Amino acid sequence: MLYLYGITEGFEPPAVPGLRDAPLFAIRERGLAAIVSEHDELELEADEDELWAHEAVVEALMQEGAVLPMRIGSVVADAQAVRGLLRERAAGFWRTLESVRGAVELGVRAAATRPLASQAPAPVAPVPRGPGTTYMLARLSDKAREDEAAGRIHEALRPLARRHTAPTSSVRRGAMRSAYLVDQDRVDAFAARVEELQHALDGVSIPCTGPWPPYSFTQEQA
Amino acid sequence: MRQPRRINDFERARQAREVSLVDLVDRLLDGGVVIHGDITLAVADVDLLYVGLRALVASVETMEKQLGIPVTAHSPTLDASAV
Repeated sequence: MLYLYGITEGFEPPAVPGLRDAPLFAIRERGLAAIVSEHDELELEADEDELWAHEAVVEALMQEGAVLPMRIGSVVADAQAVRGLLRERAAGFWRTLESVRGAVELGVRAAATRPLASQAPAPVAPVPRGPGTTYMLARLSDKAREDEAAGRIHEALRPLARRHTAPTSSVRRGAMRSAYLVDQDRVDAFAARVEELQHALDGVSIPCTGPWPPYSFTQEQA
Repeated sequence: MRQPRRINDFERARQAREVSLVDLVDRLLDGGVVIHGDITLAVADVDLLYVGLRALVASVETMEKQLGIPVTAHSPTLDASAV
């Protein structure tokens, strides 16, 4: 079986090893190339090394040109099946490659960083509230601060991006999480804007990661 | 009031890597091109991979919140000068 890493514009695969050190090769159709490695059997472990191994190949591809990264664990029976896949979806893959060419993905999150109510100092004087009320008010204030910061962050970063995902809230704490597709020559400006926001916004942490291959922008373009 | 925890360079680097890992997990398990149909052979452990890593992600998010420091993390094999 063939393990797929990404779909490219047809350039030669770089000389880096695939999963389990298997060599990479390209299967070509309609000018596209699927970059694969061959395995008799392959079981992925629940371990970060597996993720980084897949990621290292996709990042190496990204150095060569536009690439659509596959979701981890994409396996196809044989070369004929890969060619069929490329043939069937060629138009969409080409449009999507066009849409990401020359750009990288940057990830941005935002979360309140002040101590939670449970860690706040006890009030010196008695206040007319139970501890539960105090906790809930503090928690609401965390949430409001995060929401407000998320809006400002997204509005400030959006103009620097070619495309972006809708900011989503994490289930755990309502923090903003969004991905931006940014032209390569604007990555520094984007990072500087994040830095400015980090200084301007009190009590909010804004981790920014990347550059990533465009994992969040591989939906086929209509 | 609880003292802010001091963070040395080593811890900061480790945390940056783990924050990167959270973003990597999001992308590799939820993003990317998905192939459908009978040409796909499921890799047996992708679900397990997800469950195993979700626990790790939850612990990183908790850590990030408790430490409360801004982290700008980069994926380790690619830096901005290379793109």
